[in-house]
Amino acid sequence: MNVNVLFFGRFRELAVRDRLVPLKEGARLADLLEQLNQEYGDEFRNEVNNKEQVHILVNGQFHNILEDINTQLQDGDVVVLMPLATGG
Amino acid sequence: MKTGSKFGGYNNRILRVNLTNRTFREETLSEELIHDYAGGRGFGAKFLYDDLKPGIDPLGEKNEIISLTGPITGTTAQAFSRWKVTFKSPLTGAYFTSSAGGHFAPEQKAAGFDVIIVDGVADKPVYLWVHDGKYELRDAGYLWGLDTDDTQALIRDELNDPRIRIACIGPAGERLVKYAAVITDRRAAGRGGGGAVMGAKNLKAIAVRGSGEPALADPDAFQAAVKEQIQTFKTNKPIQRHSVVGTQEPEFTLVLGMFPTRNFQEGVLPHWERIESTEYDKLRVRKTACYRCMVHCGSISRMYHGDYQGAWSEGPEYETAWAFTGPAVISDIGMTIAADKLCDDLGLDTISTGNTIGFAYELYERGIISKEDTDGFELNFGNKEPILELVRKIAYRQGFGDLLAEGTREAARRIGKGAEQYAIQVKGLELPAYHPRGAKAHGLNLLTSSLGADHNAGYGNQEIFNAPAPKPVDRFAVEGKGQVTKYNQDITAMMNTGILCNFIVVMQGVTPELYAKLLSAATGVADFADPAYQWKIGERIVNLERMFNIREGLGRKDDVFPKRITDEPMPSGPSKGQVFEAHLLLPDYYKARGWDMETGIPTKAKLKELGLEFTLK
Repeated sequence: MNVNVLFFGRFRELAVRDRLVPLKEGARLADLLEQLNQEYGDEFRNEVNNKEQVHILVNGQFHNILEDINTQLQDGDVVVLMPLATGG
Repeated sequence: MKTGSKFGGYNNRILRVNLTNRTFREETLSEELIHDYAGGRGFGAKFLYDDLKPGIDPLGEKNEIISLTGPITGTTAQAFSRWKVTFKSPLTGAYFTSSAGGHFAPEQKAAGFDVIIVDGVADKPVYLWVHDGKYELRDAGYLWGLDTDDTQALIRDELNDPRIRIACIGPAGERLVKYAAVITDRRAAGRGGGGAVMGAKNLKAIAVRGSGEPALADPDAFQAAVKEQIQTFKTNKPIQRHSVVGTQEPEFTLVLGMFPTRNFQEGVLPHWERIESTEYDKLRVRKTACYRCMVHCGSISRMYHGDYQGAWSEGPEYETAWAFTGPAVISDIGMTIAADKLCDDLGLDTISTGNTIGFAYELYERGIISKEDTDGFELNFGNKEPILELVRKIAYRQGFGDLLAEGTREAARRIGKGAEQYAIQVKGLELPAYHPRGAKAHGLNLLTSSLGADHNAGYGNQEIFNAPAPKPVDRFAVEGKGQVTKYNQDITAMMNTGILCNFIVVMQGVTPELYAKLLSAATGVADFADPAYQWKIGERIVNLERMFNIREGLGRKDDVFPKRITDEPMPSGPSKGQVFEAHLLLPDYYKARGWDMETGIPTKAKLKELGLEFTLK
């Protein structure tokens, strides 16, 4: 299956704007993040792990409202990695 | 020069100006007023409630423009530069308080007055000049018709002082556009039509300058609290991010699918990659800051290419980045910057302007209006050509713009033919850049605020920014949202007394505990040291504002969204399928508030608990 990942801020500088990421059936959010960490390296991993400064969304829901990194992914899901947004 | 009262932090001077008779009167702040309302928004609500009889014409001589500071204004505390202006709104016919950052409030306080209250109507254009405890009305005949930038430049020139701060109106305010803004420097107290209230009074501007500095009750304790605040700001992650991009990141609602698009029919703008924060990053010339604020979230943006090459503005802030893209489905960042500057110069609220234009586009697409109505413009979604000309026509009330200048609710009433359902407003105030279908507590604030659909009256930061205070919530959930909205509205009202910037409230840069320390150290009011009492002040303000509106005849019938929001599921995007369940959310909110479930009126018990018995008379 494939999930679409959108990168913002520092994530985009280390990766791309958006891309399809192939995953095994039954993959969880943790599997996706680990795959991206391995692909983009330590700095990317540090950004992902800095929970105070990152928003991770799955289909428009913050991941901590779902099952956190255990959230089950489906084919066609949209995952967002972005720095903390702050005000409008 | 040190000034003050029994309590620290205040000048203890109110200036009342009657323009009809060209008279001035000074008053002092009562201890009861200080204790019960603290300052800023609280003072404004109490004065407006006490001074205005119900039913007065917002554009008549009985309405007031109340210019407000707080006990922390002008001190070394960070992000307390906000200025509030309170009035009865010509757009909503109800209570209103609008706000701007910048430098006006600190300068007004330095000029010697905590509060300036202007009523009456001048027989010819004037401006009010307040400086170091003195005041006078001066001729503004030569300023009438000028834009806000020129108006400020010429007043500074006339008075020979470049450091004067000015709050003024442009052509839109002069022509009583119902959502005309009050502009100070290049910042706007945009919402609610305060500019029209000033225009109706023939009041072109208020200019202030001073060197006063109210004494603080406990300077050492205050400085300790400021140190704590600065340390918090240095380590607060959202504030750090805010220092870099400010609000120029439309993607935060786009990824939630709640960026109102096609006049609120959808939640995702096509080609939104063209207006992302990374695009704004490329256009940022420099950062700007309000008085004594280390966050410096503002930006000067300049367009270097495309159809609007050379356009620049201070901003655009998030709301404006939406107002000229989402409603009419346009993704040209250059046009947004050009429209932002035009609205600032002409003195228009960008939110209501953009929303109203989107409304006109939908009416045109549905055949409710035609080219004969629109001065020949083809208002098809995606067509950017008419936008800037429509802004000008609104400001000058020319042709089709004269109708749009009334705002969506009144324009729809005049148009008829079912246009009302496409007017996306609450209590007459156009909705801002958040789709209520995608965030239920945030939407509940838009639905219930006494101001109408004002996002700053109770921002749902838990839903939109995943903020943990008081706890993270599912943005789509209904259960418990009444309490969340009450929390957001009360903490905002509480911190609007100081007057603290709402961005800091949203980013939890100042907790109620720290706020209590700052206010008690500044003023010496013993009860202010208790955070629970600060919460009570916030709740008291919200309820008094509600009672102002109840007295005007508003009630549950006015806590209503257009059917699009409550009945039509979001068609696509990350909020697909969502509606705003008002039939569940509104009763939950009334219950949390202690308001009557049938009428939406605060109960006698609640009013007594808050010391608002006087509203029962």
